[in-house]
Amino acid sequence: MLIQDIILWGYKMQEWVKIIIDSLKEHNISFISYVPDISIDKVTKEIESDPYFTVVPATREEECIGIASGSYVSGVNSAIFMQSSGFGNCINALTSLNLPARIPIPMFINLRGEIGEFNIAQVTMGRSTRPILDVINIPHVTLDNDINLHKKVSGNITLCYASKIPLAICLSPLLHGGKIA
Amino acid sequence: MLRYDVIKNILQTSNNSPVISNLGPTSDELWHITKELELLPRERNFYTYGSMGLCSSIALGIAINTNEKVVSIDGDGSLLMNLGTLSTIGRVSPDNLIIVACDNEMWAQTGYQPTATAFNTELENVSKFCGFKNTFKCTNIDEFKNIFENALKIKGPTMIVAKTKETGEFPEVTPVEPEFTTYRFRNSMLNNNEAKL
Repeated sequence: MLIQDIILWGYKMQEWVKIIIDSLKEHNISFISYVPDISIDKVTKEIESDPYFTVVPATREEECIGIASGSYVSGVNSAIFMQSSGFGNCINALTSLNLPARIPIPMFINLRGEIGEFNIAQVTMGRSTRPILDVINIPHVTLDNDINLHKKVSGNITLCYASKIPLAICLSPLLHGGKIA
Repeated sequence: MLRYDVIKNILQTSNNSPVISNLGPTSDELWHITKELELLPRERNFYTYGSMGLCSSIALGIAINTNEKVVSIDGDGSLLMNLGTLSTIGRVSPDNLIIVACDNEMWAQTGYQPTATAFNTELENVSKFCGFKNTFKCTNIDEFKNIFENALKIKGPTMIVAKTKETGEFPEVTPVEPEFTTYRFRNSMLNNNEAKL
């Protein structure tokens, strides 16, 4: 990798992190629940250090859905950060709570099983995440290295609250560089 | 002690506090008792219909955003499915959260199969070691009334394990649509927080 690529990559990382945080604030999303992931750590670290946000790390992604849903029904907009493996832990919560009760939560999901994946155990859930979202009728968008990042993030959060169901914003390795083995 | 009497006492003593109920008979009884006490429509009732194990997680999310006492009426089967949330509650330590675990030591609605609390798991001790400030266990309704009255005054998080018996009868399903519950509950909390809808 060339030095300028590394610099550009570093700049882009900061940019996408800033775009996500700005978009959350635009929509008064001040409550975050997450289970850690090495790539979305770049965002959750910033969120943890920003006094605007109330942050609750959970033990399991399904628990995040419960906690974030509690926040929404108490009047505070919320979002969730997790990895695609953890999305597999959320499906019954989404289909039996958020969909019937119309609780909208933007979910930021880091996609494993994409280019550069080195762990066979991550492949199936990573590659199944978007098809499963389609089957349970939850809209989703994938962020990669395109130039309309802000429109994609903020516009889809607008859609999420308009439709009053959760929406997934999937993060691809082309966005954040993926996990460095 | 009957879960019915536990829920009735909670509604009679907790004023307008948010009450979140576990799926199935707990949510159904909550609605029927609210009706019986002529408290309908109690906007601060949050009935759950699915989302197995998440009753107290939802209550945690609510408790963090309000200063009011928040009561989660959970069950042993539900808590055992999501014991991790007890450690999250211990970590966040909201002083206004009260969990009432109606512990019948079984999955009653699915055919009375025994849960682990019928064997060696003690939910009050699990909660204690997860960092709950107060943990109680009771086996009769008078004991429960005293403990709950006290729990409304002290700083939590508080776990009350109420050992309950089943009657073999289940009430009709709560006739409130889930999305109506969300709308009504959220609206009530927004008004209370003087925010705009």
